[in-house]
Amino acid sequence: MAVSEEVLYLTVRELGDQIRTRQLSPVELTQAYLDRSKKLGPQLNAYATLTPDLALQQARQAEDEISKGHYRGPLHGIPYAAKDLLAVKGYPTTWGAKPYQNQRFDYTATVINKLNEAGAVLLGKAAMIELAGGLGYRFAAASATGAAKNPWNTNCWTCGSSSGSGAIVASAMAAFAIGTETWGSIVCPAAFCGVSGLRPTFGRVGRVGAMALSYSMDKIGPMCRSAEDCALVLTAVSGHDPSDAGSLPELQARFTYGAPAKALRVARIEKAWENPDPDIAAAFEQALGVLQKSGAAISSVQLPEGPYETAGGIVISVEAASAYSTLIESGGVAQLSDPLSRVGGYVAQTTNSQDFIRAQRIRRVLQHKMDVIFQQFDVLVAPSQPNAASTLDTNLETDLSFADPIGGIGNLCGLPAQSVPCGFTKGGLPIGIQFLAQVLNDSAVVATAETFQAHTDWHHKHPALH
Amino acid sequence: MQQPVTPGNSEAFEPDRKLSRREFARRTALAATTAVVVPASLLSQEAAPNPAPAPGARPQTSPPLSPELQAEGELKYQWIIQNYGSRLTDAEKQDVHRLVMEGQKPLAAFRAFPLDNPDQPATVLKFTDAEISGEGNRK
Repeated sequence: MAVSEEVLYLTVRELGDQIRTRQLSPVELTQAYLDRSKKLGPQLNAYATLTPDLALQQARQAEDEISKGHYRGPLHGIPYAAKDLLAVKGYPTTWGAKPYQNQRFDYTATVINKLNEAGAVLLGKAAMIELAGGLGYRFAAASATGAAKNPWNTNCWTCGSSSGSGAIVASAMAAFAIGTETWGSIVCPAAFCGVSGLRPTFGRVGRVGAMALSYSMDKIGPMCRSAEDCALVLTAVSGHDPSDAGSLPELQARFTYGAPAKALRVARIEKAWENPDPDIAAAFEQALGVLQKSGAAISSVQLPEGPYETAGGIVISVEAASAYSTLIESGGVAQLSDPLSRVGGYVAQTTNSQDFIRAQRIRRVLQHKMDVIFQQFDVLVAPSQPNAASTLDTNLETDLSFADPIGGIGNLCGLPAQSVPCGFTKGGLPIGIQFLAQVLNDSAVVATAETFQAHTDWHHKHPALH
Repeated sequence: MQQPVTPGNSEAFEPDRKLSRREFARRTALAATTAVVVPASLLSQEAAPNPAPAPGARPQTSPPLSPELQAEGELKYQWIIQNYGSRLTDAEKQDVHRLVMEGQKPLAAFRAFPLDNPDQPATVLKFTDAEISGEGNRK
């Protein structure tokens, strides 16, 4: 039976319910997503690799198990894509970069193993910015697979570095995707592509088998069609990873979503962005109105001021210079696609050790400052980005430059964040709203986003693709 | 001693909001700084190019670098040229010089941030007691 486009746009929860009750075949669903991925993937530069044989084998296994009454849970038989920095044994894992086009690992990343255990179906590896942007990049085309195109307007970018993950979810080439964020790489593509993205608390999702960019800031998280879906996926992939030095102990790493017992205290971040697009500012105000009507009391808060973005940049710079030292010192960076990527590593290598330690001390001070804020509020809210998707040829360095204190502080402190769609610009590009919470309070950002989505239908809007 | 932890308080330094950039990835290049010890003989090996502004570049509104930060930036640049100069085109050298100098700009505020001796580094990111203590009632 042919699977309709409408079904391909269903949420994980909805697909799972149909699969569990055997109204929907995992094999047919997988084949439909594969067909759509083969058709739309090249148009959007969304995939690095498709894994049809593996996908169909996993789908057949899921179908067989479910038919015998062995239902593993809400991801069983659900097709997904994984950012191409996650190792899958026997398949290329290119890190989005030409120097690693033939790289294969003889093991599989922890997060993929967890999804295997949950019965999910891997459709392929999502395109990404080369090295997740770890050595800098100036253009959307900073990828071995070219610029990822935004399904809402193919002259526009998806944002990065989880660029393919954003395009794949927005265009229903998979039910969900796995992305990663060191600074902005889930929240921004989620906003630009009009999908729901969850950046979990640092250390919640194990990173063994994931490319390292910044050992103390890299996070793995889901990109989905709803906040509820993000919670479902995070539930499956969270947990202690004994070989990841940054992994939290099991009691803290394990995510179990539960609606908060009491009303959450929400605060809008004042002056979150210096000059947001007027359409975005208007959509954000309307979104706050929705939250208020749904019962949230919204206060306001200012983030602490300090050189936190500089500190975050220095931490990433040093850790990336170390992570990619072989590539930098060998001259292999010359094969990278972006002019900034080709020289950024040399600059990063010159970071002062005193500045690095100072950045780490400032990070600790900032954590305490944020503790005080989170004694007063459970969730902070702001537009996800100050602008909608940029055009593919935009010079990101000169023409899309602005302060990002929320991203800087949130990532430096390892805070969870959820971005969900909250409207469109007059030009038809998605707008996102983000929720930020204290470490380990991932449930609060999901709950607030879920409340918002219960009263809006932005997350049900689909781009017109042919 | 820990710093005052009042949210939004004003610190005795210039915030770096005007100097920061959107893409974390770009920050990794632009935020780099150095105190690499460069032999004096190297300083004359190659003069820093005079970087041309990138097409479409916004006018720089940042204050000029202090002589110390400028000199430090030149040392960094020379270190890169000493180690990797043979791989770089003239245009790339100009780009590297500009990137190094851009990375110097936020350092004055960064280095002026008040820290006391007991302020420990989060070299491996660990959460504070306050962060951990509320965990039990968040599920």
